[in-house]
Amino acid sequence: MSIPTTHSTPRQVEIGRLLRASTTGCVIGCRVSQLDVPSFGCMVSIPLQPGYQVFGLIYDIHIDDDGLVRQLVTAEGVPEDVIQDNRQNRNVPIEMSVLLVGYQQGSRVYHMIPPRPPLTLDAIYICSDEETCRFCSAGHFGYFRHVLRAQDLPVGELLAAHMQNVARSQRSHGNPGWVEQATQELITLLRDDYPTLMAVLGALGDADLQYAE
Amino acid sequence: MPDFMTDPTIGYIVGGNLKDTLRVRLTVPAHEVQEGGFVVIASGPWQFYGLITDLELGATDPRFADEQSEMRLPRGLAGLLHGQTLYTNLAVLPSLMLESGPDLGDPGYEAWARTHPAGGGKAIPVKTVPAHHAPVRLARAEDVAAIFGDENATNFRVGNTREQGHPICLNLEKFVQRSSGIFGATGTGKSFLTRIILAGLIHSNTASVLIFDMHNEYGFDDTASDTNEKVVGLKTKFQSRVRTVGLGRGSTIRGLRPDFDLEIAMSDIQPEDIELLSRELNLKETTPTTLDALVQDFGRANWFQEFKALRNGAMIETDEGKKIPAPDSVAAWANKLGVNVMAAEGLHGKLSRVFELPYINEKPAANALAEIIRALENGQHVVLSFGEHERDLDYLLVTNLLTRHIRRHWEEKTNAFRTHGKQEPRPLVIAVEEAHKLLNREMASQTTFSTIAREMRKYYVTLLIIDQRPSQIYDEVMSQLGTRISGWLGDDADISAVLSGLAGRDALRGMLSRLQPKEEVLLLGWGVPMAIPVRTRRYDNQFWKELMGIEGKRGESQILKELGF
Amino acid sequence: MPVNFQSIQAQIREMGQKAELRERDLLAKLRKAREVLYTYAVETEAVRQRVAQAATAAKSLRCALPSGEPLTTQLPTPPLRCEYVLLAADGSQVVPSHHDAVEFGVINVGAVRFLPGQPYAPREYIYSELLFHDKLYTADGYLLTEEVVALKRDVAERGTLADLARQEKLPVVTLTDGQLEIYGESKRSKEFDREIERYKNVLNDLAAQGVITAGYVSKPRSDLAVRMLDLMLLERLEMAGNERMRQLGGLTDATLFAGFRDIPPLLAPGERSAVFGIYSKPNTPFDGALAVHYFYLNVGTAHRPVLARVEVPAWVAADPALIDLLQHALVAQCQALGSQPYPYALHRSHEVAVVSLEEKKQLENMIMIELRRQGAQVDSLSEKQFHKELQHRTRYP
Repeated sequence: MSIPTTHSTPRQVEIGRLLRASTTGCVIGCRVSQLDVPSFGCMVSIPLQPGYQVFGLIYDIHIDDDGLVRQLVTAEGVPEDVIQDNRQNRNVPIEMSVLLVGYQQGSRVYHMIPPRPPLTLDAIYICSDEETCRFCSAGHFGYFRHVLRAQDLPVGELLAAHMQNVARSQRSHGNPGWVEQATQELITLLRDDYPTLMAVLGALGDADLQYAE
Repeated sequence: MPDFMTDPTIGYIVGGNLKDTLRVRLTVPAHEVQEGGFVVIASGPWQFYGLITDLELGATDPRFADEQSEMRLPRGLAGLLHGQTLYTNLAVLPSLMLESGPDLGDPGYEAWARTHPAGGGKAIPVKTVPAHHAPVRLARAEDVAAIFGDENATNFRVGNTREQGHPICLNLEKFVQRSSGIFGATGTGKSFLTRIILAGLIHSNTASVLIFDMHNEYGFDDTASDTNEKVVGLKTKFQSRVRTVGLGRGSTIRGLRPDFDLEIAMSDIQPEDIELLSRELNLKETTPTTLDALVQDFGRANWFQEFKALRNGAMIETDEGKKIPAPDSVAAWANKLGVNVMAAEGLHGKLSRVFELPYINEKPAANALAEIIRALENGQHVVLSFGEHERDLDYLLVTNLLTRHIRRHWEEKTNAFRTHGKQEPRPLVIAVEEAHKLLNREMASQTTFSTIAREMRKYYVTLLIIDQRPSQIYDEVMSQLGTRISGWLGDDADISAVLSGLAGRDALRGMLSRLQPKEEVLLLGWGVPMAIPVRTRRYDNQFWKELMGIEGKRGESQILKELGF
Repeated sequence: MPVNFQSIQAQIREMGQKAELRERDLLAKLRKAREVLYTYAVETEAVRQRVAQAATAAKSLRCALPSGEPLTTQLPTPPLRCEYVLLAADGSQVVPSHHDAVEFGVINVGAVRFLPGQPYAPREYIYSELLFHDKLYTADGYLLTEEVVALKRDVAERGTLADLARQEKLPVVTLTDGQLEIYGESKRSKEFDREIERYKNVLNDLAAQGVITAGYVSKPRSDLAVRMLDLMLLERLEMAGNERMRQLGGLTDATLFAGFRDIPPLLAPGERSAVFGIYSKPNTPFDGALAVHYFYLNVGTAHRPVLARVEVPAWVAADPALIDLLQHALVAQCQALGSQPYPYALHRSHEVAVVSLEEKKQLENMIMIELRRQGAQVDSLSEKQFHKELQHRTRYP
């Protein structure tokens, strides 16, 4: 028996809960067992109430060390169980930093900073392909503002990773032109900032985004 | 509704001014447009028509231009970058604007359509500029037609736009209202273009045409100098509508006998005809005085014949053995009239070249001059071939003399028409090759040609001057030329001469100097709605087939009837 | 006020001057001790007799007792013969204080279960018990002492291990930090005795399950073996028990096996010493199968010997296979921590168990909130504690 597949409501993948937040970003904690899903540049959503959810981009995943780990690396060969112990038991929670890039109110998507940040222990989900497409295609790439404003971030790498993710989704949702539109928008936004633009384009070039020639 | 796919915009307005050119940011690859392209700009209720006069490469930051980023980035990505940071700007010379009214679906359309029952009306010279970001597209055939009209009997197609090949027509009725010129360096196809225009004029029957065919090219079939192919003559195609005239009794042109010969009666030669030859004959300043004395003594009709009869240097011996001028000598006549003997003898000597011209006779066999005038009056066209008399002397003397007579005749007819309500004179176009010989600065004041050029159509006579050195033509004449059709010109002075008195000279100058050496001309001047480069039609069988397929203004049978056949 | 550095300076200088003297003395003693050790290496029966004789003279004699292995035994880490489960537990406690706003105690035990050598992350367990109201006071109405709370913790640690071990099918090694044996004669109380009983019950439970039980003592200060050697040097037996007559006083067992300066270690890295029993006065709570035995283990490297003392009950000590497994497990565990050898599992259980000051505060808050919610009167900090907790001087910025 085959299970009918549906694109409308794919099961959301919870990747963790909110640790701390501000209007522009938040940090979420997750268990190691949840770590294989989110990745750098991934789009996440934080539903706050029915019909209202906040969207963000993962721009950093921190794995902290401590005295024990530093001591362990001095040993000759670390046993596998010790490695697993330190990965799975001791690095809890793994922290992920998220840049807030917009929100959805009802059926409308806004590429603006959400009016209020999510709260402690709000659950964070990986956006489905459909959600990602809907968010990224709404308006005209207004959310790039938030990424480009964040000077401390590896902007080029973040955009390249993000676009690599979204391009895949957009292609499978019948919008193969998205990458080029997005790239054009970036070029427009960064035209007067040559060093940043070239850094971003360098990253996009490495991302193998399949531009039409 | 314009179809986006078949009618893509090529750019949008980013700046410029009315005095010079508009700047257009190109949104298609630069190689898809060319200088001289005819573009249409839609802005509000107006459509603007203009010409691409320049293309310029630019970059938002010079670093984008300096860095060969296609080496660093994937091709597609580099393409996107270049698309936004590297650009081409067009310079567009705006010429005309046409009210197009609101869109069909616009609420204001109904009201506009009521006040404009005939649609947008006539294109007028630009008086404003299109808005920023107004879309620019290459003209479609109907745009060109809106400006240059559709091809018909009097709207004669001279060629096509260079890029898309839309037909460009010349309104012949307007063309003959002022004198016009065809220019181009040697070898640019001037004479072919002239044949085309003349064929159009003759076929449309807009005016009678008198062609001074110095090199015997137009009447009968000729052989092209460069391809050695047969070039069809006007007589061949138009038969009885074109009368061929040869200079001198029993003349032959390309081995054929013309319809009749032109002989000039001595009585027709006037002192001003001689004065016109001052440079050619190297006449002295005393010439006018001598000529005055001759006219006084012999009368306007006889002076030439009498002067010719005098013997120059003839002496007789008196009874005392003294040598004195003979009574029928020039010196004797000079002494009698108190004219300087040396001057009179000198003039006589120099006029000997004129005296010896075989086509000047005391009593021509027929009054060819009257015959020519009658033919022209009757709607026929005349090709005067100079046959073997190809010297400047022949050309200057005959063209000027003939033109003077013709003009006088037309002047009389015009006055009769205006004051007594007689028949309206038939418009006449006189085509003059090597025009600079007749219309240069020194001669312009003396010849009838410059008068005609200045008078416009007052007496129904205009000139079509054909020349390779427009700079040699008196600028007052040049500036009066309505329609100018110019092929490639290499000389800056020539280019300036062609453009004299026109708006947007600077923009057009470059275009003129970059025309293809053959089959490309710039159409400009009062007679055309706007300047435009044209790929001219070829003067070949196809041309004739197309031309003869179009019904003339007056039917062939009607013309024959008018001619009394 | 800071330390009076001026007055302490002279004392530090004196300390330095005496250090060299002490070292020379220690070396002499170590040489002598080694001499005795080698002399009686295989004459373990003679040594046992000597101890028995000395015990008659010194009523409170406490020293090592040879188990049968030669005194100079040095056994390398044996290869692993079977898979096993390693359970380690550690505890921490919050001792009730009447200075706090609310009186409460906490026993917190963290345990970790390893499958050594397998690529699985260990499982962590945590057990917390809140001590409040009646549980905080003795039958006589006194607040529980630190010792009793600590003993309760020890019981909880080992009880946790016994509970976890019950679910295992593979051989189990359980570890706790510190000695297996518990003293406390000086502070005996009814509560203390009751907890000792419970402790022994748990040890018996573990023994009944056949679960290896061991206490790991890092940087041991014990000198029971040296005391035993001292007895061999006594000229007159009746002098036994007289501290001043000891020739090897000040020397620890660890130094004896680890060596000092130019005297090389007796145990190479990974090697263990002989297993010793403990001669102790009669009526000690730990006897029979629970009688504490121990051996020394060099968990260090060739350049830096690190001696640990491992305590096991008699029934484990009697089975060489169990000792082998224990030795193997400990060496493997210590190696994981590289230059600071210590059983990794013990450190991890400590990490799990430890109650930080912050956590204690949080707990206190939770209790106070609950009490208030129930309408109970909540006391405040003692004035003394209040001032102790005042914020320290801060610095700009």
